[in-house]
Amino acid sequence: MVTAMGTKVISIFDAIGEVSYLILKTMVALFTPPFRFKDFVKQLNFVAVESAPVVVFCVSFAAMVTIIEASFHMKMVIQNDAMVPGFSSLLIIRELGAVITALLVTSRVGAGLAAEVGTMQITEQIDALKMLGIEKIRYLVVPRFLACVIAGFTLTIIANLVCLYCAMLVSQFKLGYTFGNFLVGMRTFVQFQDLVFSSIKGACFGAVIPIVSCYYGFKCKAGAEGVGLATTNSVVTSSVSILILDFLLSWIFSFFY
Amino acid sequence: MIVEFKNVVKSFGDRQILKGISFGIQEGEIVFILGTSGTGKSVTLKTLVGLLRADSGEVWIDGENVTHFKEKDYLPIRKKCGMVFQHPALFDSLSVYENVAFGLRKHYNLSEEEIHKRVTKCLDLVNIHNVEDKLPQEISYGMQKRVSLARTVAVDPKILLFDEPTTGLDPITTNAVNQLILNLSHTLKTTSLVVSHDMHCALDIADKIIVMDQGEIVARGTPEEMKSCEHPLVKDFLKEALDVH
Ligand SMILES: Nc1ncnc2c1ncn2[C@@H]1O[C@H](COP(=O)(O)OP(=O)(O)OP(=O)(O)O)[C@@H](O)[C@H]1O
Ligand SMILES: [Mg+2]
Repeated sequence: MVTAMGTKVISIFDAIGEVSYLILKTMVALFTPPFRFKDFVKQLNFVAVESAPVVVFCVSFAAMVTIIEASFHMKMVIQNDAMVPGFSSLLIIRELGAVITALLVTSRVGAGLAAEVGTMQITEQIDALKMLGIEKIRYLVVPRFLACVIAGFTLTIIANLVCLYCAMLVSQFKLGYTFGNFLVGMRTFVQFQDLVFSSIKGACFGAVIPIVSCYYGFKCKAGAEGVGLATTNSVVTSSVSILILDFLLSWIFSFFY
Repeated sequence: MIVEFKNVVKSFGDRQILKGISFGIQEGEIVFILGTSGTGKSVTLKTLVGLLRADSGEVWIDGENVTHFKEKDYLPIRKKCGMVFQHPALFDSLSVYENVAFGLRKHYNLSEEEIHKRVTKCLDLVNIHNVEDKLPQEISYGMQKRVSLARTVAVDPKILLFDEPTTGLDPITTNAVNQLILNLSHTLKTTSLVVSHDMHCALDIADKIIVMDQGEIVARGTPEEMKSCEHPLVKDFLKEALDVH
């Protein structure tokens, strides 16, 4: 029992060590030539451009639900929903936009990435790369890392704008606040730095996804099961890490207000 | 000795896979490693080129003790050693042509024309035609294995390591691959280490045969010596090889 727990603790520290090493190596390769520009563009297209529709679609619904729920409860408790536009937009920009985007990208990109890298690992493609003198981190991780960071950043900005627009539409047609009212309400609650912090969060979440996915991909055990496990583990771990990171970043940013 | 293993031990967790393996290969020799599934043949090959690291013992390549080499130091060693993996291990985002050209682009400063010539020649060697632009997933397994062979041969390695190069190939292609190994060793003095199940091929083209069982070498010698070996596993292998004929 004690030894089992001991082994577990050791393996957690092992994992932390390996992930830190992966991050370090990625950083080094990120800033030293040769750069793999073509791969990066291909990944950016996959991660950012192809994820955009699903992100836009999902966050607009999240925004609509948020504002309708907020209004419903405000009316019930204080018989007035005048504060709803301001509060909702604050919630959207501070949390919703970045987190929902990151979780969507995790399930779409993170899962695919873990499966891709895992398959390469078990079919000896990564060994073949090594034999040809190619560093797997520079070749596989760096383009994906950069693409995901940029995608996280831009998709979060897009998501925020779409969310706000949808919230405005709902408040216009359902709650009876014009776009003007909404923007005035928003202005009293939301500051420019909220937008900046939200995008920084997006970029950080974006960084989590390729690191975690590649970590599980590289550790993938042989067999279809192995790939399945790598995929599941990477999605779960990425999602949990994103939520924890969200908490940490919110706490750090709170010092700037 | 161009390649030498001295008492190499390798474990995964608490399972010891290689239990003290020692053997040597002379330059230009063709050596076959035979053994049943799971005895650690692939692990032996991977330990040789540093894809796996020995727990104890020494690995020597071309007069250098590479056992404790850093990843960076392995680069020139791996350039010398071409490895054909048990899986075709082709890069699935690249076409057949680009797969074979990959190592050339990486290691040599060749013009497109020279690359084209070399790639075509290597694909010719393994009898692959008209699929240069296809992705690996779009061609059959046997073809993938042959392309993988072409990719390895393309960079002109001094030492060739084959992990079951003919498993899953038809008899005609199997013969062609064996001839290829033989030719390379005659014309370019390439040293070959071939992992295989096929005693028949081994008797045909090997200079030396090593038989492994459960992570240990149980028999070794020239094909002639093997034919009179009394070890039961070797006898089983022989019986099968001779039955086929
Ligand atoms: N990376 C690894 N991690 C853990 N165990 C491994 C690893 N690689 C190989 N093994 C184990 O080592 C043993 C020997 O494997 P190896 O691949 O060398 O067998 P083999 O002799 O090549 O067999 P086959 O003919 O089936 O390819 C197997 O039991 C395998 O499970
Ligand atoms: Mg094997």
